[in-house]
This record gives sequence, C-alpha cells and structure tokens, in this order.
Amino acid sequence: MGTEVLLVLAALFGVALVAGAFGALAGLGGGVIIVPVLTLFFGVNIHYAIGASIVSVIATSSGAAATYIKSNLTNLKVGLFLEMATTLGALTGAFVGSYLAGPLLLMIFGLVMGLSCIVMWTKRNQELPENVHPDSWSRKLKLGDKYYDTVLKREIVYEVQGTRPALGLMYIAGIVSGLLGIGSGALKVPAMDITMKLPIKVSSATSNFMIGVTAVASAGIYLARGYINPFLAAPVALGVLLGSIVGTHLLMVLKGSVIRWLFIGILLVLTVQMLLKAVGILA
Amino acid sequence: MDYSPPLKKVTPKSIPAPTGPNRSLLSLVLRGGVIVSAALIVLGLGLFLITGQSGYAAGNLYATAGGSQPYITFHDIENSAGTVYFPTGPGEIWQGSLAFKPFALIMLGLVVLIATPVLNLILAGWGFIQQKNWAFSLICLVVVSILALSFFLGKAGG
Repeated sequence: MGTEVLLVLAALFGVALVAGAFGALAGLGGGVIIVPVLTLFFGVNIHYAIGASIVSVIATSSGAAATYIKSNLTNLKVGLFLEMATTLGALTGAFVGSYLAGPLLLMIFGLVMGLSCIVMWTKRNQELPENVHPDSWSRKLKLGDKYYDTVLKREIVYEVQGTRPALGLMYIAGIVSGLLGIGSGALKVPAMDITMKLPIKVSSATSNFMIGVTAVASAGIYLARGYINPFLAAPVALGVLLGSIVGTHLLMVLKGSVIRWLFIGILLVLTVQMLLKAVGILA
Repeated sequence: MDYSPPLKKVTPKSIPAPTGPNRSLLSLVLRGGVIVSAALIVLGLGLFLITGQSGYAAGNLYATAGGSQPYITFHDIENSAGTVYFPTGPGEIWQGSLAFKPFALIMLGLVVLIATPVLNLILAGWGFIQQKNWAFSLICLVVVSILALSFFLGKAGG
C-alpha cells in the first residue's frame, strides 16, 4: 500500500510548516531544519536534502517577501547592495569548496556564529538601534529608510552605518552558502544587526529577501543535475509557503526584542550543531 | 466611463513615500509567482496521490488488481538509484506538464518558484532605471550578472 509514502508526505509537510514559520520570522531559509530532518530521520541522500532545502529557502523568501516589501520592512537598497557581495561569495564558495577542509570550515562557521550570538546577547533587550552614524557610502546611496511598526504603533526612521564591513561579512556569508548550498540567513541577520545597526525587524525582512536571491544561484545548478526531487520538494514547498504566512504575521505582532531573543536561541543551537559536526561528534 | 472623483484611500498606517521601485508591483509579482507555483504543485501532487502514477515510472503508489504493477515505495522515490524517474530539463518538464504528468507538473511549479526571485530582481532593477537611480540600476545589473555567471559556470562544471 501507499501508506508509507503518504505518511512521509504528511511528515515532510508538517516539518516544512514549522521551518517556514521560523524562517520567515527570523530571516532564515529553514534549510537548517530541512536538511538534518531529511538526512537523519528519512535517510535521504545529502544532495537531495540540499535540493529540497534550496526550494525551502526560495519558498520562505518569496512567501514572506510579498508582505515585507509591501509594508517596507524590507530595505531593498540595503538588500541589493549587500547581494553583490553575497552572490560573488556564493560563486567563490562553489569553486574553492573542494579545496577547503570541511571540519575547519565548520569550525570557522561555528565560531563566527558563536561570536555573533554573544554580540547579539549584549543588546538582547534593545528594541531599536541607538547611536547610528551613517558612513559616506550609506549617505551617498541613501540607504536609510522608514517603516511603520505595528507593535510600537509609530513610524520608525532609521539610518544605516558600516556598509564596508557589512560587504565583507556578506562575502563570507556568500561563501558559506555556496559551500553548503543554503541561504545562510543565520550569518546575514547578525551581520546587518551588528555592523549596519538596522532595526532587528528590518534585518530579518531584508535577510529574507536576500536568501531567495542567493539560493537561486544554486537552484539552477541543483535542478540541472537532477537533485531537486519533485516528491521531496512538493510537500516542502507547500508546507513552507503556508508556514511563511504564519511567520510574517508573527513578525508584525511581536516586539523586536522578542525576535532578537528568538534569534539568539537559534544561533546558539546552530553554533553547537556546527562545532559538534566540526569535531566529528555529529554526522 | 466613471468620472466621479477617486475615493481617498483611508489607511490606518501612513506608508512612507516610496524611495525605490514600485513596492506594490514587486509584492504583487511575488504573490502571483507563489500562487501559480503552489497551484501547479498541488495539482501535480494531487494527481499523483489520486492516480498513484508519477507519469514516468511503471509503478503504482497503490496496490493494483492482480498486482500487475510494482508498488512505489518511499525509497524508490527519494533515492538517486530509485526506480522513479523525474524530468529535469526545461523541454521535458514543459512537455510532461502539457501531458498532465504529475511529476512534470510539480517540477513546473518548482521552476516557477525558482524564477520568482529573479523576476523580482529584474523588476526592481527596471524600477531603478525608470527613476534614473543609476547607482542602484548598476547594482542590480551586477547581481543579475553574477547570478547568470554562476548558473553557466555551474552547468559547465557538471
């Protein structure tokens, strides 16, 4: 009977629903949930798992971006500006990947995330950024913008700083996504939060926009190589799309500091996961 | 023709003046892409579950009378060495979709999903060109070029 297949479909859909909601809320692609679940619990080959994860990243991004762009939570200019570095990094990552030692890379990735986690922790109760000093590029490109915060019930006008260090960090984030085939929102959000001092909701929404674009670079390759399996990708795409609707509504009604706390939690889990993988405890 | 004066839109929140491309249009395109993609995937998955046929392999998801066809199990589908084939080339996906093959319809939905951010990017670039914001027109062009480059290099790399 086909019950086994139906159960797998339902399970994948459920997991994707959760991944989509978290992803849309935190600016992540949900790949960090999809890949381990597919490989560990369903025994799926890693290439097919990453293929499904790429679909999940794009679905989260597009599902959430419609709402975020309309309400101006997404800073399109910042997103596009940084996307130059991210896509270039993804390209680099795809080519140098085979020359780099996996464990070393995971170790670096884990340490960077651990560090980001600590920095975000130091401003854990901050609702909006303070003391932002826009640099020359930020002023010239007019990166600052405003949005209406539905929780604080007022318009938030913000400036952007640290454009140059942010470009550097985004290049690294791009390399990571090129290597692991994921959108690496986990690096994008802290980079925008720490160096550019964007409001956390703007960082999350902008990361959401960016991960979709970055993932497209790998999606074409994975599709052509036959790693995007319709049976795995269909429930993942549908689940994530529905989940992202929930996630975007949550972002609108939650306080910035709550989202920051949630993000610190996710970063902590990821850091531990990466470091355990680096030393070989986790497969 | 309706010549009555346009109704003043009353919005609870003051949406700030646009500083970039037309956000409503971008939002509409994203939503449209997502809906079309989801509809195709639902159709393909629905057909697969109802008929039990992927449209490609000689296997059935359900038990057939007389047991003439083998069952499709999860490992037939997920494994690279599995018996269930699915289309990956654009021509194959399109032709399979026209023939209403379930797995081709799902793949078409996934292709639409993947194309959506690219379309969004191009529209944003077009918006900046119209506003004569050359710096950001160039930035969009750079991003699209890198994406195109990665796609071609990736294909060449096998």
